[in-house]
Amino acid sequence: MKRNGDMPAVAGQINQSNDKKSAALKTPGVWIAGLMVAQLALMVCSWAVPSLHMAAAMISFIVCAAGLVSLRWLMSTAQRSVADSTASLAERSASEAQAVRRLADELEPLLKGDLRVRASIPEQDLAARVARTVNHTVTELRWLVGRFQEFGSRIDSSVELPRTELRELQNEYRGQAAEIHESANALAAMTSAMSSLSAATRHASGQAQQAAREANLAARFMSGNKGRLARTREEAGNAKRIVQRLSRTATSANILVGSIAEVARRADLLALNSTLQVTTKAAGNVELSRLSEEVSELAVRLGTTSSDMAHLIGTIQQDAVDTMAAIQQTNRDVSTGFDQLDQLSSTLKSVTRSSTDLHALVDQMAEKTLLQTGVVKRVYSRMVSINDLSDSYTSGARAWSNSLDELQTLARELRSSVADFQLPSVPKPVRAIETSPAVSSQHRSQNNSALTDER
Amino acid sequence: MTDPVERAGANSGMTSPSFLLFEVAGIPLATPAAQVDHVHDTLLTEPVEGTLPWFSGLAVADGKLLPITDLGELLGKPVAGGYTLQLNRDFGVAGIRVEKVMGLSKQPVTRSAPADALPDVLAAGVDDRCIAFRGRIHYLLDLQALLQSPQLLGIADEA
Repeated sequence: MKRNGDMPAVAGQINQSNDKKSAALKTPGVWIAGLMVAQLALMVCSWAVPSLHMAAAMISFIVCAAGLVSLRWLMSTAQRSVADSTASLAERSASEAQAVRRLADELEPLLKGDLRVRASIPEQDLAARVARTVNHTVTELRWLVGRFQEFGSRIDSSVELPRTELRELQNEYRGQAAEIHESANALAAMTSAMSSLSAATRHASGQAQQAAREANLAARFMSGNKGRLARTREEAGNAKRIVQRLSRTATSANILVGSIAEVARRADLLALNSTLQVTTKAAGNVELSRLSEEVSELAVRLGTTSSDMAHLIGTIQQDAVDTMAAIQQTNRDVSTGFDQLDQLSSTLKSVTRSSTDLHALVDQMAEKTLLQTGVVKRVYSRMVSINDLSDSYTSGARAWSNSLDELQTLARELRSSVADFQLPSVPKPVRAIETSPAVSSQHRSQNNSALTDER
Repeated sequence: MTDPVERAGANSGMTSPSFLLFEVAGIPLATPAAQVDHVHDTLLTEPVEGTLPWFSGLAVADGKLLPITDLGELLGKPVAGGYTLQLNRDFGVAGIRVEKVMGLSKQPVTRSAPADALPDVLAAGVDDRCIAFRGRIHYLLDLQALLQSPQLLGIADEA
């Protein structure tokens, strides 16, 4: 706080009368000091040069005498000067005391914090200086209290928005921490799942390899079956030719049977006619009758035989037809089996290739799964670090919020501490808070000029 | 053509008369074996112009001409093939074409009322005598009487 030098000026006035007395006392003192130095020099000389003892003693005596005379003169001068000063000062002090009492009466409300009071300037020099000083001090106090109130309000209003934002930030930090925690848990679960997947892929790799081996074995087995099926088809072809030959033979036999049947029919007719001849013309001819019976039996046997043969040949022919149909069906089945074996063999080769490829892919997958597991673990550890950092942010935000609360409390206390002061209704100072000494001094000078005008 | 069992039985003895069983136009008939001299299965017949359709023509059997009457045609049911029964010379010179010949039988002759289904053409040679054979009734047909009936004597086709 700037002071304008009124108080030192008052002190100077009080000490001015004493300065004159000091000047009056200064000359005899110098004389006495000089005499004492000379006395000392003489004592040194007399001690150093024995021949000069007497002279020195004389001189010392003279010097001492002169010193005593000077000291007496000096004391009388000082007593006169002090008496004059005391009288003058008593007169002036009475007048100043009266002015100071009046000034104290005027400044009585100041003790209750009323900064609206102004001290009137008396005629007395010292009291006027005191009044000016007090007025200046009150002006400074007004400015200071006003600034306190303004700063308190500004701090209060400035802290409110960050506190709100800080609360939102805290909530967001909490949400973020929860999400990070959840993500970390998900990553932990993912790590476990990746480990399980890695184990499963290793198992699948083994199974794919086993499938490739079994498909290869099946392909070789199918190749052997194909050879056997080829032999079966060849044998079926042989059987077909045999049955065809049998069918042709049966047809020839059937023709022969037809001839036999014709013979039998003719023999039968012969037997009938012979019987008729025996009956009508040769009745009683035993030989002819026996011959007729033999022919008849022969015809019967021929007929029976031809009938049986025809039946058998018909059966053979039917069997041959059925066998041919069966062989043809067998051939068709064998052909179908060949096609199916070809398809199956091709499919098994595809299965073998696919299983081999699958085995390689699953191996790659297992390897990448392991890599991914490592990556996920690293991400998990970083998520844990982020979670810790988020917790730190939350704690920092909480501490910041507490600090802002404390700052707001301090601002309120600041305002309440100067709330008892009563300020005159003057326009508010510039709202902007000074941020640099230059601006502050400029603002101060403007305020001072305003206060001077007010004065 | 014939039944071997029946025929064997038929030839087992000569004491009882035997009958030749045959079938014409689905009608089972029988005739005494003594009236039949021979049974032909194939007999080349030469048609004669100006005769009725049931008269097949003339054939040569045993070096002699044999007029052939188609009994199936006469009954309205002509059959291709069949057999020709050559009558004994003692009963006439004629041949009767029939559809089937079963053989000889010595089954006893029984009597039964003539069936109403028998055509009138056969009325001249059929009476109530018959032979039961395998569940069928074979009516005895007198071939000599049939051939001498006025209906078969006129063979000229006057139309």
